Amino acid sequence: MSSRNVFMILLAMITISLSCNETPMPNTTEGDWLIPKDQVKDGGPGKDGIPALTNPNFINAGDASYLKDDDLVLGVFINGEARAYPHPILDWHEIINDDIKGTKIAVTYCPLTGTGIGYNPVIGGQATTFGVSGLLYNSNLIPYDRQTNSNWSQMLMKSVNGRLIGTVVQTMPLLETRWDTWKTMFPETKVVSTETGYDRSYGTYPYGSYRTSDFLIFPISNDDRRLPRKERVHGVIVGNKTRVYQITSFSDSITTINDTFNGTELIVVGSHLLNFAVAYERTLSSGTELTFSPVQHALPVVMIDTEGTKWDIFGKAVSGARAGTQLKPLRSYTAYWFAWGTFFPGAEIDSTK
Amino acid sequence: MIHLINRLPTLGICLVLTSQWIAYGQACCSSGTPLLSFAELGTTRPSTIQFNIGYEYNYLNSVFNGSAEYLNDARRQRRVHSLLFETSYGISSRLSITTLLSFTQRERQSVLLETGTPEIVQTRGVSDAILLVKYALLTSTIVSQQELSIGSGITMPFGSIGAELNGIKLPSDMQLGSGAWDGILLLVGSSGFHPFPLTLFGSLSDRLTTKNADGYRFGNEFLAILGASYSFASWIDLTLSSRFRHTGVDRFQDQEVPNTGGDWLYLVPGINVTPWRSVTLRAHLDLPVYRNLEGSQLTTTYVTGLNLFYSINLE
Repeated sequence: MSSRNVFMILLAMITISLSCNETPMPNTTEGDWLIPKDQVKDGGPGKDGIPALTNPNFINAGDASYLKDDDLVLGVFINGEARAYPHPILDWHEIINDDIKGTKIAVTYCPLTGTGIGYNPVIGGQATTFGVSGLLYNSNLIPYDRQTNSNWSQMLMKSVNGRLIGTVVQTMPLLETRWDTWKTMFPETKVVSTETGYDRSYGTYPYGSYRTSDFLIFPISNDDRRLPRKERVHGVIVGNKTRVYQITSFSDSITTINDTFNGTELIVVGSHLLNFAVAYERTLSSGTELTFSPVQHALPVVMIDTEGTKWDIFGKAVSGARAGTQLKPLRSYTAYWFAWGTFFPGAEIDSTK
Repeated sequence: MIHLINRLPTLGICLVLTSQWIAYGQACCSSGTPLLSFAELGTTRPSTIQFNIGYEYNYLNSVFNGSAEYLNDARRQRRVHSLLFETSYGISSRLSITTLLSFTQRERQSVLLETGTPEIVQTRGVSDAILLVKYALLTSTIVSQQELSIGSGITMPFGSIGAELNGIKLPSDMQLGSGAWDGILLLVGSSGFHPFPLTLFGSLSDRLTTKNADGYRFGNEFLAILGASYSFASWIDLTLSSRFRHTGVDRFQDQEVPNTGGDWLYLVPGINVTPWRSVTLRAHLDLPVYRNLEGSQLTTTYVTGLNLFYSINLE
């Protein structure tokens, strides 16, 4: 065969291989979206490319040598058991599907917006688990449920695409705070082990200087610069309005803010030093309106009402006349300020000091 | 006649053979097309047209944090198939010009945790191009087999940066092009040792990047290559080279992008076969032997390539 023939054959093969310009795609994002589709971004790893954990291994607090005291954790106290889901794990997995003595929870965390929200994974009576879709909206995690493949907006707390579109998820109480604060509150806590089945550098933050710099990796629709972008704030959603409370504005001591917002009486309690903020309605189902004062050095008790009842950080009365009563949680969570600013334009910034 | 001593076996897996991106977090930057790695760096003989048609396969399944490799990450893979068409023309004994067009298919595969089924996303199409002008400061003669050339050029953003999945734009590492006009500087040299059938070769190159329309700018890139070619017969050469690659940190909207940039060292064995006077076939394997990357990155596990060279003397 002549060299010319070899050349021509190869050229023909290459030409044939390039003759179509197609882009075959899976069909997990088709259909209507409740959010602007052009603002939904592909984060890069692909669906399940960031592997959510399901029923991970837990260890005792004393064995969690991979955690530093100032590492942030998301903590729950369910069925009498405290469990901690540390940021150093969640930075790499973003979602942990767990079952605590029969109660299921999906701990969702977005490292880019700094939002940790507990999802109730029982939807319409069907238990599911959540995975990481690999998509982002306004830099925020879009989980998907494995029952229907519907996509959810973590911060909007509802399905925004798929069969469950429009469905609002029930949230579950979740506290974000420092590891040493959490251990002080719940010394018997279990904490997620680094034996996750995945090789990851759990001691290394995977986003470089992201959490301390002004830098955003993905575009956002509304860049509100009234506060530094990465300022951590606890936001409260009441009806169609939002108010945020800067964690750095709380004093080092536990502080209570008896507030009224959009017609709702609420209590916000927080501490800069202990690094937490939580919010509850302070009107009981009976109609009684409570007023709270802070309690120091008694964690997990953080406040006392004017009747002398003491309340813990999850809004449960632990002593006094109303012992056992549970304050109604608000739709609230902690996030970087820029996330509140872009998801809820015009969010009020609390000026109480 | 094709002079293989001028053909530095893969100048570099450059422009992006190694995908840099936040391997297990949201966000990524790009991988682009291995254009410079394909381009011929030596000058072309006067009045000669050289064609180089090649295929390269880049398999990315290694995840590094700094210089440490993770072991348990077969769930996510990237594959980049590239077809490249290069044409070089020797304008004079010292001046030559090269154009390089590319077509790329990118594949992203992740395995769904619950079902174990792979989900594959593909993009395919025209990618970026290169235009290079090279000038020979030294050319080989009967008494001297030393060559030294300088060159400069540009990469042209012919590849799309708008590929979408069901209306959702794909990340940079799945786009077909970089979207940016970049500058290229070259210094290439080689030396033969007649009658001993050994040639040493080396090169230095720099890619000076610019910002694309999305506000993304890949880090500048530096490549250094040193290698040797040994002719066992008139029709067969074996080559072995090392390639050092350094890329700076990418920037998006003028801010540094985490988990981008780093250092790579490759070992590149290759074989050149010349069955006919004007035709040469080349095969090479690029094996990374050292990586020290910024943050965590999914990066090249290996690269294989096949080339067919064909030259026509117009005189």
